[in-house]
Amino acid sequence: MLEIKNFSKTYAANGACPSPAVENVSFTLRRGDLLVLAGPSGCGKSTILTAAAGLAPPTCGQILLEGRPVTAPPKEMALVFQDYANSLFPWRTVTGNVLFALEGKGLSRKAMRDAAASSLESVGLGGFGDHYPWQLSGGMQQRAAIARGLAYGAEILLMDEPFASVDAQTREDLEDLLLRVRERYGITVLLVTHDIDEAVYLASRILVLSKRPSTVAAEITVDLPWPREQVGTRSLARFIELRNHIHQLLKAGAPSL
Amino acid sequence: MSSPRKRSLFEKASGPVFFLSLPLLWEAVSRSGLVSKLYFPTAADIIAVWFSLMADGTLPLALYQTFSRMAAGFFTAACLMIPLGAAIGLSPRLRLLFTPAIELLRPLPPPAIIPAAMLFLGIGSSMKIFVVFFACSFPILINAMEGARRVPRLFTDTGRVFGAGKGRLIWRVILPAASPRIMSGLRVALPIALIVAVLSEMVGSVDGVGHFILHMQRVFSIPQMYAGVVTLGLAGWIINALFMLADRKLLAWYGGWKRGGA
Repeated sequence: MLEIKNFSKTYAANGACPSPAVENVSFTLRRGDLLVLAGPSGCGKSTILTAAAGLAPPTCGQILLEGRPVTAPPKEMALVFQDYANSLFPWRTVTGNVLFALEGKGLSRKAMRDAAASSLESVGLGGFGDHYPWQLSGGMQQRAAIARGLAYGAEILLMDEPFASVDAQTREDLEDLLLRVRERYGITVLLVTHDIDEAVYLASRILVLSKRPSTVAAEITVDLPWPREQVGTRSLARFIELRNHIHQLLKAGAPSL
Repeated sequence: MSSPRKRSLFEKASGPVFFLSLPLLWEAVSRSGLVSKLYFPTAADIIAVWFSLMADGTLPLALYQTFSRMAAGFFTAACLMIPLGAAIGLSPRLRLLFTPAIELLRPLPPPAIIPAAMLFLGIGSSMKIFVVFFACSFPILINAMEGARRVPRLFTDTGRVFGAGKGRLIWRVILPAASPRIMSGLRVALPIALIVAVLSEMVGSVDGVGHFILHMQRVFSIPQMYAGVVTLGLAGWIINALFMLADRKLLAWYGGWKRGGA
């Protein structure tokens, strides 16, 4: 449903030579996928995601959603940012933030309130609607951001290092939450991470990107059984095998010291 | 957030006690004969005169005149300069267009335009409203400009991702995000509005507290003159307190967010 074709992005710094960040990346996100873009820090993963969301056009190449080019943020997609503290509006309560995603839809006040309440319920923030985001922990703020994406009715959830700024325990909870809501809402997910374990644990497919300027180094189908389970899945021989394989790929692509 | 430390009796009482002792100090200086009683009447005299001027409606009327001019100028400036500032802050092209004019006019002391304003608008209310408007415009404009310009990219990106068009982006994202800065512009402009209103009444007027104070000095009604000053002091204090109240209510989120919340 979402096609990235020959995507390239070049950043021209003032005075300096323009340097390519992403070179000729192509892939297709299919309905129901949980596709993970994995690669070293600074390899341009987020650049691809931001472009896919319609926030910044690529230098070359095309982004097609159901065959139509993406030029502005489409209503079929919601984005969950890494920096939750600055993407949830601090002047709105948690419910207010979720309502923001519903305000353009022409619903009645009551329908909006109900939709916001049910999406907060589904991420386990039932009793926290009246809090301000900054009164909550990082994990809870990211749950609120996910609830906002769900309320928006997006078919595709784009996630930019969504769990990179929370502690390990919270991260596992959020990973499982993502898998649960994906199942329940039938959404397609494109997620960016630099964490190989997270990539293997979550993904149905992984796209391994090389170092800058990044190209697709490998595409791996993750054939681990569903549902995934933190302890069980991570101790499967196949999990470790995939993990090591990706590790090798990234090491091969990393600059030698 | 930890609850604030309990304040000792000394800390709690020192402010009000000092405030209440000012009239006593005044009284003592006046009675000591160090300065002429004519210029430095006793606090008791001033307070008595103040009450009678309040009771016969002289000061309330003058205050109403001053305050309505100040408010008209201030609110006109706010209504025009917040949108204009936001627009300039958001558009690099408008910034190039307006910046030289703003930078040129900004350092101009507002009283300097009073004589010219008198030529065009006379010595009635419209002249004072205009001068207050002019004086308030710059702090409001510049803060609205900076506020809109510095709205984090992530806020506007978030707005766009969730389907906000231009109007919703401005009203629901940019203005709230810039509101702390906009409020500080208003906070700076407020005392300026009072100062300039009073000053313009002293320069060219037949009414208002500014005129009253100057007139009483000229006819040697010194306690009356001080009563006018006291009135302005109290009015300024009340206006500021009301503004702070609104500020705290509107920007409650800002403090919490900056502190990092929980």
